[in-house]
Amino acid sequence: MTALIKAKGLQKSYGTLKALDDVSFEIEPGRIVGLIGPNGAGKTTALKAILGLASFEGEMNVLGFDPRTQRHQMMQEVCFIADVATLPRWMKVSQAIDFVQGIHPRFRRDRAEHFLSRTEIKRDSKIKALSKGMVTQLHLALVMAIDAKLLVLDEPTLGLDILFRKEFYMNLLNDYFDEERTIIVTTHQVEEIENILTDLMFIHHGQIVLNEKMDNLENRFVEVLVAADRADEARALKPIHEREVFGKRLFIFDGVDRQQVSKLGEMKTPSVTDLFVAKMRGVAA
Amino acid sequence: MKTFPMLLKRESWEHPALWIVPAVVAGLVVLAMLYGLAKVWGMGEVARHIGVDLSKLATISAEDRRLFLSSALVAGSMPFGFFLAGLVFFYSLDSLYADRRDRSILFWKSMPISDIQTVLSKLVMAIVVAPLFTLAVLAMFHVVIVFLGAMLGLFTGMEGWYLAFNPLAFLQAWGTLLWFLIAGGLVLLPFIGWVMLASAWARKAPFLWAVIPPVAVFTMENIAYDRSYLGQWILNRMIQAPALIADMSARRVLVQLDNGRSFGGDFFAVKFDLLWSGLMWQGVLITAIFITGAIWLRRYRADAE
Repeated sequence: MTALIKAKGLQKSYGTLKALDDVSFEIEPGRIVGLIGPNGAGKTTALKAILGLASFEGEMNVLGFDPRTQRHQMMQEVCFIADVATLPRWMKVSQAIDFVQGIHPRFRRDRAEHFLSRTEIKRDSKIKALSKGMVTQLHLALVMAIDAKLLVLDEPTLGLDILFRKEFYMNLLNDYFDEERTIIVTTHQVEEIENILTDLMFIHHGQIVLNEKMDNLENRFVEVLVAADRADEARALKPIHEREVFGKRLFIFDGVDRQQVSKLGEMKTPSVTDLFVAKMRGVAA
Repeated sequence: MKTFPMLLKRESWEHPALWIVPAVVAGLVVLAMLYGLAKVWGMGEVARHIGVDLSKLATISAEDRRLFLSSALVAGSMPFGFFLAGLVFFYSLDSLYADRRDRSILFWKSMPISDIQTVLSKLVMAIVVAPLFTLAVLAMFHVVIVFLGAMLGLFTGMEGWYLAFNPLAFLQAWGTLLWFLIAGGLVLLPFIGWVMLASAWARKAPFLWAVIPPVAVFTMENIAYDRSYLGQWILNRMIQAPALIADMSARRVLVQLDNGRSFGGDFFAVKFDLLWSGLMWQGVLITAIFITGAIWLRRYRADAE
């Protein structure tokens, strides 16, 4: 399968801070990729590089276009929501719909109207009169009505209450996503999206520290709770993470021989959150 | 593609002041005229007292009579040109800054629009659409004030005024105003381009970025050379431009009165010399540089936002 996004050797610095440090990855079509990392890890910089919103060094190909020089053509097939509430506050809801219809050749008004009919958003309201949750609903309705090949969401639910957040991802999954489309989403609320993702990408200090299909996590990572007196045996197997849980030691291993590990205690697949902590913190618990 | 018209529509949604301000000013003038009308009600033969017998308009050619009305309409509309200049200044100042301040630029940039289209739509808004808004307001304004003027004439014994009335005079006035407003924009083009560049550049306070650099250059030049080349350039531009747009005394029309006196004067005629003048093309070149800079900033500066 040909990759939708190919990035090779991306570099970007802000002063002495390396926001992207030799980052390479490929994203295939029909995936929902979670780009996860702590604040300042380079998530937003990576997305901006994909979207042609930031300069960088290295090779980048998005749908056959270079975002730096062919951004205009690329944006025919790419859509994004960067942060919440970036819709212009002075605009009326009806104007926002008219505008996207007038500008975007792949926008289907009936779809937008359909999504909006399930909300309480009035067409003649000004956007500044809407609640933050409603603005996000409107933005999502506009974006989901665009038949884009790639949708990029940067912290799309930041600051929203839990009902809106759940609904946001439900709508996205049920009404928008199919094998033709690709979604990249960043968030630091991992648990919220872990069950909709097909791929997981961790970024830390400007480097990709994990890039794996969700289906493979089970095969690759294992979590074991080990009695304290057998901790050294576990450490010999080179865990990627260790911490104390109720007087026992919890270890996470990457690609270890399961037979050996099974002797130490009960095995489990670590949650994405635990894996995230493991990758970010490392062995030093 | 319907993209560009949509971008212009978007600008007019965001900046209704571009037509509301001239409409409000026109409305206030109409109110003032209504007040005047109420005042002169029943005053009688004012015309005879001031010695102007408009019935003598019959003695000049129909074309000259039309000139009286159209010129009066154009002259009465001049203040709107200054309002327009002010509106366009603040519009340009806001044009590439406001959406960066409120971060809605991230929404505009999520649409398949090139930054060239965006910036050019804002320039076209400033020098074409905004003048057309003013012209549309003026056209309605003219019809109303001519009607009110006719009433005024009726009440003050200046019925002869009707002799100047001619529907073609409106078209002549609007055509002239269209040219004046567009030409004014072309003369001011480099200033608009500069303000848009400042708007694209500023992280804060675009007004200061637009005003301080030229003032600083002006001051430094005065200190260093005892004169300012920039100031001189701007001054020359403003002094030379009117003569390229209109011939101020193209035609003298005087209406003789019985008492030996006369009324009337010199009337202007439009000239299009501006279009092939060095003054305009020099301005276009400078504007092209500023606007290219604004497009570049719009494209690549979003970076650090």
